Amino acid sequence: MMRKILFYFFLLFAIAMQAQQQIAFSFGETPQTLMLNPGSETNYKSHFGIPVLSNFHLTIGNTGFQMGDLFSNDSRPFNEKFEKVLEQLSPDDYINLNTKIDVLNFGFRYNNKTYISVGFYEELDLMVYFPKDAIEVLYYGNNSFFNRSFSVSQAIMKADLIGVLHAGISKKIDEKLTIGGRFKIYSSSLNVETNNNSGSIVTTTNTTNISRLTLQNLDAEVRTSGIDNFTPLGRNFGIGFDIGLTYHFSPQLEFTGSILDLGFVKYSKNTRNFTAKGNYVFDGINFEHTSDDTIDYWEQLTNDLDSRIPTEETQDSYTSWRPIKLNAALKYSFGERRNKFCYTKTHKQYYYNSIGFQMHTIMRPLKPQFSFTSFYEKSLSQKIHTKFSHTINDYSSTIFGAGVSMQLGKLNIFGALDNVLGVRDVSTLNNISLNFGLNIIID
Amino acid sequence: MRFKLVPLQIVICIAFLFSCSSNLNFDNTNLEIEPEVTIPLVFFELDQRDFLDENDQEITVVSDITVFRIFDNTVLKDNLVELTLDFEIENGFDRSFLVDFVFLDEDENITYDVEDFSINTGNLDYSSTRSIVIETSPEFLNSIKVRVDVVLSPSTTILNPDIEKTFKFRSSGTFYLKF
Repeated sequence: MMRKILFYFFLLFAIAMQAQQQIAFSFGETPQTLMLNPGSETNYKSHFGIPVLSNFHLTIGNTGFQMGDLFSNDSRPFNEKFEKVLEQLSPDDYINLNTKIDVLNFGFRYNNKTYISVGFYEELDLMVYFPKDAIEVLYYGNNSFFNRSFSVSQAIMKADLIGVLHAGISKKIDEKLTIGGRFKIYSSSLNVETNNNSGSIVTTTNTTNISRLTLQNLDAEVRTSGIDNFTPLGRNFGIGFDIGLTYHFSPQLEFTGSILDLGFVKYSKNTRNFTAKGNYVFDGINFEHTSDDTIDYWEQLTNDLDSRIPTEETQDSYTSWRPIKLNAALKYSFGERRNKFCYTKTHKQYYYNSIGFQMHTIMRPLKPQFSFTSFYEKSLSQKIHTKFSHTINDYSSTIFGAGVSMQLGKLNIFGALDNVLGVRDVSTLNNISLNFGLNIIID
Repeated sequence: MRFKLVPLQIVICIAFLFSCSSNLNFDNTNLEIEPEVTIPLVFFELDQRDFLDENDQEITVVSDITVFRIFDNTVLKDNLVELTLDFEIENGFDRSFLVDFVFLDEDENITYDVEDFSINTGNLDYSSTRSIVIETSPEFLNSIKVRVDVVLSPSTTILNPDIEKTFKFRSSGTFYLKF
């Protein structure tokens, strides 16, 4: 049973992805772009997302290993592959799963310069760092690791299931500058997090007894909400906002930038927090050989353990910050121009080609997660726009992505896949990101 | 000209996206997890006084017993393959001993009796390793208590509580688990 659980756990990790939305950022004038930068330019009159299909985003990434490391088709025993992967893992390695479903999303033009968009989406975000020491001690035991200290601080994870009700405004200041902001109300259904733990466990030889187990400076806490009483619509609320801008240095050179999810959730309902703190040295049971037969050594031991390493369960409130995301892109457009007939009956000039760079950062418990992307955008016609990208990040330096945005009548179809090479050759896959959206856009 | 190229570009893109070449095998995923967990067990120290009663008569057997509820943990109980027991004994006495290490169930019936150790006079460096294989001794899993009997062998040498002599016993167990 445990073997199966470990297997599926690692299978999930192996195909896991990344919370990067490089392709959708600053690409075309779709509602997806507006969600990644509230200050992006909008040149349509209104939009209505097809409920649930308006925007679906899934990203899984794993920095520890590739699919082929575990599942290569060769004669090596699985344990050998597993042990090699385990050896190469670093405590900085992690898996990340992020999925976002737009339940409702619509927007309308308030006036020539102002576009308002509102909606509700559900987001699941899971970030787990590989606790290498704990995996090793579970897999090998402590017998071969006398004098090696196993760290508790490697246990870092955060899981969130959050509903987000949002309203944003995008305002064109002048021909060069558009700014925007989005206010968000978070309602969290589920949160499990642990970080900033400390402590170590070590097995040593000793003169008191043959072996000694020492638990030093343990200080661990796991905060949870919603693990008992899960409700799809969460009862813990928080607020946050996004800000963003678009700036044209020239008609051809454009900068876009955004900061997303500057906010927090305050957990006060359905909370269960667990703490353990203390030091303990265990040499075994010391027979005292007193004439008093009533000594219960086992009870003494468990009482001693409880008093030296008190574990506590509380229902205390806590605050959890949302992972802040930073996006920035610089885009240079060139080639044949085209005009777009806009809601204002004016024409906006577009170019058929663009190249640029973009940067994406998410603040994570251990350290920020960076991605650097270079891209090429090509409009195949006035209705079909494509984007090709190359990304370097924690997962890989060869992530190639492709995106397409098509206007079929009033229906805009948006699709993007990051890590095309990983899909072509699954053995090298350690991250993948999908983005798909269906929206009605009225010019 | 540009529009003629569009379908070709799309075909190339789609081919690029979906031409998977996988050389993976998900059948060979039999992971054997076999941790070896070492924990200290029982230790004690006896002096000559411990083997004399209030009338200074020799006590032949000094023993002590403890409950250990490790097999309440079904993960350990269901997956234990073998337990090796390491013993180290320092006998500073001018007498020899037999040591009996026994595991007992709730009603103190013997579930496993580790073969006795015979410790010669003045042996300060006795060590021994014993193995309990669960397959051949399944009743061991019903153990809930452990008792150590230290048996003083008969001799003409008389114990003298005024002289500092110690008998030290140390033990450690390594649990071989398989999941």
